[in-house]
Amino acid sequence: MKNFITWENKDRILAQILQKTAINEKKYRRNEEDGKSAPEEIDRGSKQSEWMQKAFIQAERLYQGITFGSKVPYFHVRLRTAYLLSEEMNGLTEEIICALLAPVFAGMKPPTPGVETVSGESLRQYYGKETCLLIQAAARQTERMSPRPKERDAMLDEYLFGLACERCFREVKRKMRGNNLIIEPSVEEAYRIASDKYRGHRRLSGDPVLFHALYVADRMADLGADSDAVAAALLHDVLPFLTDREREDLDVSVSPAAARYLRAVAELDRRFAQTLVKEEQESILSLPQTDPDDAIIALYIQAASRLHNLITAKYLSGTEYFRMADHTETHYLPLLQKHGMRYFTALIESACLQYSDPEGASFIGESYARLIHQNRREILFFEAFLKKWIASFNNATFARRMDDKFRPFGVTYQHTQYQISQIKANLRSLCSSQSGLPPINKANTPLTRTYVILDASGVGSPVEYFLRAALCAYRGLGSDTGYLLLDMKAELSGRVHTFLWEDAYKNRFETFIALRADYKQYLYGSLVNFGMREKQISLPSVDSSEEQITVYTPRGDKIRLPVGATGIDVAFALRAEIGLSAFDILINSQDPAFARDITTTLHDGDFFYVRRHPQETVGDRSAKREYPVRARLEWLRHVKTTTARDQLIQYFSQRFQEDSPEFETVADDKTYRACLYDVLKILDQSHLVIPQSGGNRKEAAE
Amino acid sequence: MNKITADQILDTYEEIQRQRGVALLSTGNIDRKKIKDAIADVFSVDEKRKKYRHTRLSDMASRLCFLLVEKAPFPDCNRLTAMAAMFTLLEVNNIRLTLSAEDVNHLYRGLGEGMEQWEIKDWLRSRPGTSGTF
Repeated sequence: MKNFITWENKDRILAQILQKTAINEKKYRRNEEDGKSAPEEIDRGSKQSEWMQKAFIQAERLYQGITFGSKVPYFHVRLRTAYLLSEEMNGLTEEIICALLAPVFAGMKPPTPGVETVSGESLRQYYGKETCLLIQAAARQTERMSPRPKERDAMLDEYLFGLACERCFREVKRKMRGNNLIIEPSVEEAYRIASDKYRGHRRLSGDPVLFHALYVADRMADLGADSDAVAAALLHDVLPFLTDREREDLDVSVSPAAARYLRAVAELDRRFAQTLVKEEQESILSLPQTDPDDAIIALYIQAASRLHNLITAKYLSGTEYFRMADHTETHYLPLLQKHGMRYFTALIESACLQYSDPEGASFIGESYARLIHQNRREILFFEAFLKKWIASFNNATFARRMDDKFRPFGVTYQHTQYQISQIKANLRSLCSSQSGLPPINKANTPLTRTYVILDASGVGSPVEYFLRAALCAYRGLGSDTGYLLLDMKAELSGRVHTFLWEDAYKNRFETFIALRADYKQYLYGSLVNFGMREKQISLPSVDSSEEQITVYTPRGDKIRLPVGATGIDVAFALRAEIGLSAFDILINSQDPAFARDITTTLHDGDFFYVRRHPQETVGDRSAKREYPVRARLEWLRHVKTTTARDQLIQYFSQRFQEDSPEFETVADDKTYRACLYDVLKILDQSHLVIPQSGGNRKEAAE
Repeated sequence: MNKITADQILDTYEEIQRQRGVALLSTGNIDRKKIKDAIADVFSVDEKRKKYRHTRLSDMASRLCFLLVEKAPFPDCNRLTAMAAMFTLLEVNNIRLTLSAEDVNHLYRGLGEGMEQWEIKDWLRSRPGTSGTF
């Protein structure tokens, strides 16, 4: 049955809070390290659980006998806030302690005599300076705002949730910066409007509505969305709170694009609310007066919003959560599957299953966890094997030829992830059969999924190298290690590679190898129109015409060129200066020994690096350094693109005009005359020259 | 770069006269030295830097026009010849201006009122289609 939170079971809740807070602390600390802010002065990890347990016991003693409203123990009220803070809003230790203890300082006296009273001194002694300051600030805030205990309590929660929301918003901005996006003022403005309008509004779960908006914005930032889309995500539910005037002003106050997305979201929401027949469902995204790209972004926002709603649906009363799950399955899931949004599909699917068939979901989850537990040794071994394999591959084959400056093999960010809880394959068929669920089969369920995420910065074509290595290693694998490569397939126009392995115990492993951008595209579907990311994550061309090829820079940027394009074309496509001073080109290699002439023809899918100096290495390009111009007139014979030709002609014509008496020639009389007649024709039209007859001109022209 | 010669400018003058239907009795009253001076000035070279003194083509063309109008080597039609020579110099170097009748008339009148060299140059560079690149 549904897993309601019973506040009586304090020990279990405490354990949950402790566990979740530890995770939050770890996450927060990692983020701080990323942002290079002030380092932690003490080892919080060891002390935080101790502090919280102390605060827990103290609070329980202090609130003994106090009831709230209709005989709800006051301790349960505080516990609920602490739980929400830790579980839903990434609360840190200080905030949890503050949620438990702050009411004591807001004027509440310890009711029972003999209980140890809490003073400022003891607080500082127990919980350190920061926590003490936070509690005192919270107490002051609540005391000033309202004298009545119930309202004061709400104020305190508001204050604490506000702090947590601020931190979440910082996290969103950090993610956007991580995606190399500029945070425009529209995001801040959207956050200001949202926090202003949502003030005092709570969801049924008890957390503020603002947090829902932040969750959606967080998902969008994960996805690599630009400022406008994130601003729209923050405001996606705010339209009913606005006046007509404010709604019209969104164009100016936030940004025109965000307002456009918001209108698309509202329209899509209205359509989802209707009951639709199948034909209408298929064309649901063709919104009137809306760009198709806007509709896709609106769908992303809707999917993220629905996901959060489903996660917190356990707080809904009666059969509402059931209705919501049903609606999601019929309306959202087909659409998400159609657009290839695997991430949302998987999460929403498993969330829906929990409500539509709780027994089946728990059965699948448990047996899957048991399988994983039984095979943990093999899984760990496989991970170690994969790592070792990558490392050995680097040392043996490529390290010799690569410069030491490069990180080996381009694995700047290697990350393995096990998606245990999400059983994507066969989930539907497992649950639909009512008469006894079939046992989970190793053969039909991918046991472990490993993702090797490659970062392409400063490296040639890592996926290609890895594939070659895999093919080489495959031959020797069966006998030596007991791993058998069963299947190998490529997705997303050959840039995400999937390997299916089987070991001696018949365990199956699915390994994804992809660039980070492609991996994101694999997860989130068609990422269109996302500002600066657009260049990196553009849709693979379905009808790749034969007249064009695609080549890649070391950073993974795509460049489209006509067939037969040479290094000169590619250099000019990057920048005019690079083109003019190009020395030679590295194609699918980083070794300067393999540098080719700049006039070499490129092929589809090549990675390249244009060098401007004989000693230059990949990633060594500095904007400040001045490179000599190496362009020659012969290059005009090798160029294919009009850009390169125009640039070259412009350069040479300018150079000949400017500083080259040695290049001068005297126009011969025939050319001069031909030109002269053209000029005179123009002057003739201006009625400055009146011709006597046409005969002379004809003769002269002949 | 393609230069033009003094003889070619003389040709220009003769062609214009022919088109106007004026009989050329003699070319004795044409000051050839002035034309040669103008050409030498336009294509003069800085020996030290080994570059043209008038670096850009638009400089040269406007200088040619200005000098021909100022020195007035011909008995008549100096402005017209100067304009034709200027446009032909550009044309020989693959730069064709898009000119309307109003444009040409405006320049013609301007030259009569004593346009400076830089004014001619500005006028040239502001023509549509060239975007000031020459």
